[in-house]
Amino acid sequence: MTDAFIAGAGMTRFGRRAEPLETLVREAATAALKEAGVTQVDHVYFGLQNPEEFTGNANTCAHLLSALGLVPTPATRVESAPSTGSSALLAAVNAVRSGYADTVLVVGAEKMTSLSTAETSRVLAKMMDPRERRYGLSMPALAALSTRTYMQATGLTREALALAPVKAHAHGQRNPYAQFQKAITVEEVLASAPVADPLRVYDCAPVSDGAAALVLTSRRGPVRVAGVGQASDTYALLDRPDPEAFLRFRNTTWAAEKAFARSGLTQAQVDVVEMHDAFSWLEFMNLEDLGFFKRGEALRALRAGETSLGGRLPVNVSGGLKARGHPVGATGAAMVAELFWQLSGRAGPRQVDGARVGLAHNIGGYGNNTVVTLLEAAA
Amino acid sequence: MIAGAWCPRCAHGFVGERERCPVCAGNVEPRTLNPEGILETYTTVHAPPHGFEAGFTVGVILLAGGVRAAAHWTGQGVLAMGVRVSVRREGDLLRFELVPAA
Repeated sequence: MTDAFIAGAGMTRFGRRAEPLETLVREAATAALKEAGVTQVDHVYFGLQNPEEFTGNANTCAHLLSALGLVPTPATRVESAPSTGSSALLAAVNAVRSGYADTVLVVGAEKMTSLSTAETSRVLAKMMDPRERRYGLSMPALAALSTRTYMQATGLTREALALAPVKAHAHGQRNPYAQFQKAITVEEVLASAPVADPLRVYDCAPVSDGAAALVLTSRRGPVRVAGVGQASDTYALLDRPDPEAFLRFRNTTWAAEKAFARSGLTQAQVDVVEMHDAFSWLEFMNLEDLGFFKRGEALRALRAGETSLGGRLPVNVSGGLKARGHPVGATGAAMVAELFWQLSGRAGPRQVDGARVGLAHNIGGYGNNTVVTLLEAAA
Repeated sequence: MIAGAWCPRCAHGFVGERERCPVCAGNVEPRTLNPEGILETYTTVHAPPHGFEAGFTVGVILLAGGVRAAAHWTGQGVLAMGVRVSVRREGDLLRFELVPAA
């Protein structure tokens, strides 16, 4: 099988954007195609989680192909909750590797702020099993349940938990695409409005608009897709027959095992990580689920600066979901775009020196369907 | 006792009436579950979803055999993880209360 390479990436700034979805998609896709030096592709994979409810438009592929001026190119929409962008990438990688296509465009996008925040929350809550929603459980409430368990098991304090969004915002200051490019303090995190004990507003990724695009090709490009792994778990968290269901996402570990096995790489070879910090405790738990640290040790690494820019394993130098923003369908594509720029030495003030191997970790739902992508500099 | 189901293939139980196992989609057997368990984790929700009032408390109760139940709490006092609780059905939802120390 042929390898799949990334030839170009583009994205919009994330945040509350005035433009409609198609304008954001066009901005990201045009930039990616330009960077790749192509005008035509064999197939487009669109990753959008819920444009039907967020924007009121259906038949997404036709809508966006027309907006991109790419008719009669074929297109497919891929959806796997907030891992949608990474799932679209996996479909594109398979299209290239199988020989079906030589050049493929991936666009992850979401326009979420057309609705009120309350309506957006209501749409997002539909990701959860109705058996859990019936109890008033939402994604932040489930995250609160896990956070409390994780804090008790590892000794993580409320103040230490606040170091995660503080780090995210410190990195976001260096990213012109980030929704928040402003530092915050532990005190500000602790003073933000409570959401679900022990989580506060600053522990949670924001609601965002934005798009990110990638061009994949069978011809040698600057970055090679070394391996992708994906794994799922039960719809309802409470139905998982896992004694540690509140201390880990098993499918993160399963997806990582597949991605590392397929790539022949190991955790020790990874230079830079983009991972799914939708809630602050995930800054710690994800790195442990991915096999970078033993349980409870990711906090020590953060305190020592190991996971910050300049450290041994910089994590979310883009600002992550917390500071870059989280337009749900776009997030996975944005993670890979960031790694593409890191591994080709074009990440500007947030460049990780000498980065050659990058890992993207993208959770769909509450640990429902997770994708891990390993990328390697091809030069 | 509260309603539940048992999947012989997964050797795991679930709260509520189920048509199929939520893990393997196999046939399940109805089971009644002992309502006493321990409070695994809990949260008070300040930014509630539509239809709920701010400040409600929901917990996860670990029943015998590792079966988990979501349940609301309307009691007084302070909760702690690991305390013994008892679950009962009230309308559509389960509620839990603290079990006094023997």
